[in-house]
Amino acid sequence: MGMRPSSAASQASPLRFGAPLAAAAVLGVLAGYPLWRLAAEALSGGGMGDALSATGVRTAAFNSLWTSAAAATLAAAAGTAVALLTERYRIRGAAALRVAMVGTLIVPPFVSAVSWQATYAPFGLLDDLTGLSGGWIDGRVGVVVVIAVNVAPLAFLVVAAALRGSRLGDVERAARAAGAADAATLRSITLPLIRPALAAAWLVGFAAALANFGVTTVLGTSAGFDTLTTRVYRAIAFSAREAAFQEAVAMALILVLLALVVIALTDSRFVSGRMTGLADPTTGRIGSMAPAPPGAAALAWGYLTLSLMLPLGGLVLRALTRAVGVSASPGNWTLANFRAVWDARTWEALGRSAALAASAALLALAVAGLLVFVSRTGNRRWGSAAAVMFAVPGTSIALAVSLGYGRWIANTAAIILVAYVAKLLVLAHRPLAGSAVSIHPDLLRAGRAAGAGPGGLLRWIVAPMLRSAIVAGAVLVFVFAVHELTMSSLLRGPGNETLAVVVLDYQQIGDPTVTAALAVVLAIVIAVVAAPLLWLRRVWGAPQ
Amino acid sequence: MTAPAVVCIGLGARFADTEALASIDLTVAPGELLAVLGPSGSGKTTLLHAIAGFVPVDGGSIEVGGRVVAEPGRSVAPEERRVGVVFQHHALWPHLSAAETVAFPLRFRDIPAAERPIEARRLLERLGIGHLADRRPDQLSGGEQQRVSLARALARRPDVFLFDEPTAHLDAPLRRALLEEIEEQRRRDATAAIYATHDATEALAIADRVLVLRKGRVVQVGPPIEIYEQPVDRWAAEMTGPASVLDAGVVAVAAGRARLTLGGVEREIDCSGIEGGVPLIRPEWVRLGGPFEAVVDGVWYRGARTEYRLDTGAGRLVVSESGRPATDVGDRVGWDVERAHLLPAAGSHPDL
Repeated sequence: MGMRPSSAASQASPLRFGAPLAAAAVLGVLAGYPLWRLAAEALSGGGMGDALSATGVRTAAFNSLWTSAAAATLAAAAGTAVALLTERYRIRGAAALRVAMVGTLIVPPFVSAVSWQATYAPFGLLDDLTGLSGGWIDGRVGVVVVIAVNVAPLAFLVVAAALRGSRLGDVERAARAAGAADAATLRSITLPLIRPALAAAWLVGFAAALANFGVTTVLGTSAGFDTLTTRVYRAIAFSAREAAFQEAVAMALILVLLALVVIALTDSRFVSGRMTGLADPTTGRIGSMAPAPPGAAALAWGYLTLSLMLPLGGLVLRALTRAVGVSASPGNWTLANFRAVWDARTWEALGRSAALAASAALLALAVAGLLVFVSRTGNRRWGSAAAVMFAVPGTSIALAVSLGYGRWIANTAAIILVAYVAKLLVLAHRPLAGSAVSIHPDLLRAGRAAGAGPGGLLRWIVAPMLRSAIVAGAVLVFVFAVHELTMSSLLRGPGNETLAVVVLDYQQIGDPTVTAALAVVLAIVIAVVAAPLLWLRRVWGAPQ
Repeated sequence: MTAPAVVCIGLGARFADTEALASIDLTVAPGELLAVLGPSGSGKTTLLHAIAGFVPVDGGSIEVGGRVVAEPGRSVAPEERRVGVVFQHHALWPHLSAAETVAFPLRFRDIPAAERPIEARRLLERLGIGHLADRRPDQLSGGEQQRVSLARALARRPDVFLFDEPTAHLDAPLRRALLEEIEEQRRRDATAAIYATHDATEALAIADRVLVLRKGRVVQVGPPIEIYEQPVDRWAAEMTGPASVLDAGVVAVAAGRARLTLGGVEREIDCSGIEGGVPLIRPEWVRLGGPFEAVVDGVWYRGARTEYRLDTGAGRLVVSESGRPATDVGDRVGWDVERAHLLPAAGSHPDL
């Protein structure tokens, strides 16, 4: 009838005014105040001007832009191709292909970089097996390729969701009936219609690439290749000069501004525009009537093998091998590398990472729940705030949080926790908000009519209906918190090293086999925690 | 003397700048079924939601079961009003089985936990779906879902049932079955009900009284026969069924009798409505064959009946007769009429 208010709980209550105030206060603490401090610091005393005129900064900024653009382009192409195979052609094994593609996300980017090094660089697995190796791995080419591989799953998710939700089935069938072959239909009907999603996929890839720190620090820094994120890290970690700090703050603000540009573009009509001109968007599920182009599936699996499975194999073998340079044959296998990392420091870091990640998951869920509650009348700004924080590079968030709260909680786990929650909030918010829209107001009204009060609704109707979203949100935040290297390394102090930071230390000391062993440990921890996500999908079906 | 199940006095509701309901007065007697008939956007759902407590009221008062539940500055929470709501889209909770769904309201009637499943199953069996007790909503058909929804409302033991177009999303045979079920269940407990629908045949068939709603205002209230035969204006006439209006002279000759003059032919007929109004004629008040003349300009075979549209020269006239088509488009036919209802001329205020 178009006149229903969107909530059954629209009666006056203290929640009605208190909840938005609380949400605004939480977002102010997590994002508003720290970012304001960052901007104030960067713009005071001419630090911004000095930084912009420094050659190193300009080179780093230029490198950030072109590597991100190149990686985003490669990632969008790969992600789109795989999405077409799984969603449009629905080839055999599409489910496995989806899992493998999204599974790439759970490998932390710097672990991925270490594994590519272990596989494709001189003395790597490929060198060992075939005598082939790529010196290109260390340097700009390696940086672009490995970042692309790491952000391709994001592009895949965006395009796959668009294809699945597009309901272009009848539109495609009409094109076929009009005489277009499958390829022509794809080229002239389907792809133009999902153009907004393609643009979004590129922008998501660009933002993720821009924020990348792990890959460049592993593959670029030793080859003298810097981007903004690695240059900030070096300025903070290895320099005590006030000018270096000023420069880092200025670069962090530049990263924020670039992220804001990407967000503005994402929100622009070109990208977020619905498929206008399509009279009835619900005209049947997409699904090609044609078989996939020959060899396409093999190509997709080949890509995953080369980008994910082979490097992980190389990583494990390097972790098991006595030293770099000796053949990775069973005769040279040893557990010494694992024993070497199995010390008190690793255990402590592992425990700290787990505790931090679990705390971040709980806090993020609580804040996300609050944001979903205050957004229930259709106000999307609250959720956008969380999305914006995710797009802001961790480098900038870390410096902002440090400027905002460092004088009280520097070098503690608490400061890392604030940064984690600010950055990863959206991972808890998205599933919750997505599932919450499936709770039709009538379901709540039916609960009230049946006799349940607001508390009863939350306990018996809302929470059970959101159960899978709550688990998914918690696991996502946990996994990405354990992943996290950028903020953890910038905010590190004597008492708050995380496992990822310990891995980075071994890598920078230059001990490849021990680094590999620790990276394997980290990957196993993440895989164990992430497993419930796959289980959830199976039990609950596709996300609601 | 039992209190009425529902009383609304001067009820108003606004959303932003839209007046969704304006000074609605209505009373539902114990055991009575009031159908609220109106097109979409007329405020049917808002009216039910106001009575259930889902939307705030901007003026007037509501009593349910003899207790004031809404008046200026005071509103009783939905869970403390004794209402049983059946929603258009069923509104079944996806995580609960049929039995758990029906057991849910029992929890708030302070029925001991051990007895709830037994009572829930009894209600499901009463509706003929006891064998589906363990199914979740996605394993039920539309009709089955709506029966679970009905059982949930029954479990509440409400003072009034509120039905919000419960059959709107069901196929015709299921619709009829559910409608019969609703009538039977309600009669059994003698519980009052308000039944919102946009379907006139449904409203006329099920209701003790029909309330016609338009843009948030009451147009007419009365027993089904009165609503159908004596609509207050042309809009209400068309809302309640097929209707033709002729440009013909009608002069009263006695109480309930009038003379109709058309194309030089005069006829004395049964008549109601306002003196000097325009004659409204329902299809079954007309038959083919008679002194008046017309050209057939449409024929629709509808199975049990055939519908004809005649061009009388004084407006189009819809006729409904049993059996197969008896004439073709373009034929000249005679016709006769036995009664008419005089409506106020277009634009004037209904005054009966």
